[in-house]
Amino acid sequence: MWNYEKRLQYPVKITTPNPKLAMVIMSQFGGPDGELAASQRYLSQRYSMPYREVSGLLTDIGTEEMAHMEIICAIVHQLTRNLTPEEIQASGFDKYYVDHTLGLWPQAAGGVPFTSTFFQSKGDPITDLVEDMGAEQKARTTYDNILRLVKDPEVCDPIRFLREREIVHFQRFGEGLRIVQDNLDSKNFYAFNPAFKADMK
Amino acid sequence: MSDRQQCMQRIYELGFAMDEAILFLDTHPCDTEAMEYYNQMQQKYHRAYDEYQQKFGPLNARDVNCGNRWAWVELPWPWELEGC
Repeated sequence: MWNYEKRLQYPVKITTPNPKLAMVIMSQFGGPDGELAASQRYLSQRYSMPYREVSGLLTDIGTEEMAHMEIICAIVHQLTRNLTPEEIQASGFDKYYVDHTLGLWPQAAGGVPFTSTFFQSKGDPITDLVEDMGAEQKARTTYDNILRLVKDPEVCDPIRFLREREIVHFQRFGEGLRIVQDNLDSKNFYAFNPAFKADMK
Repeated sequence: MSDRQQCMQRIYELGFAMDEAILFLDTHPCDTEAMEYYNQMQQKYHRAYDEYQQKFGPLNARDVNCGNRWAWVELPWPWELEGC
């Protein structure tokens, strides 16, 4: 189960709204390499992971991703406070506003709704961990792209924190993959799925 | 920075130190140096967490000191500008 701690993992304090920027940053909520997809990817994959250290890693990183989703949502929320209809129209936020007002809804920056096809849970530890390492890099690239568009230091600060977390998670998943490979049966030369025993006979 | 913000800043810092130590220990479960670090941060974190809850209000719905009012919903939520 989960337990909610009433604080963000990293503080968000944005005093100047900017709905145009909110549209872009929203992609890290519900986009293809966003935090919602990340959390559901790891938390779905952990059940078929046969090694306890790596199941622990998927649980703990998956949980941290939920906290990152909350940070992104706090950024989008604070960037869209106190807007006038004129500001909404001039910024291009009107296309989002018409369906969601100022509510948070998971979508990519281009308007594509969140879908579970953004991630995979394949039931094979090697396949899943290689996907996870790729996912962390894709998220890091997305944050790099966002940082090129952001001038406001109050927005840059938490985005930089999130970017750094992608790098740490990539490193930890690499260690997880190493643990899986160290555990492979020496007869399993072609690294058939170690989580599906029928292959091993 | 107000008293509350200073106390929350300690929680951010110590909580982050713990988040980092936890992930590292998942893939290095026998690293004694990392465990020592974890123990130190854990102690400091709990101290800061308890101090915050005593002075400023609950951080977890299970820690509410229930008198005649439900303090859990009185204080700002973390995504509010006033909540950080």
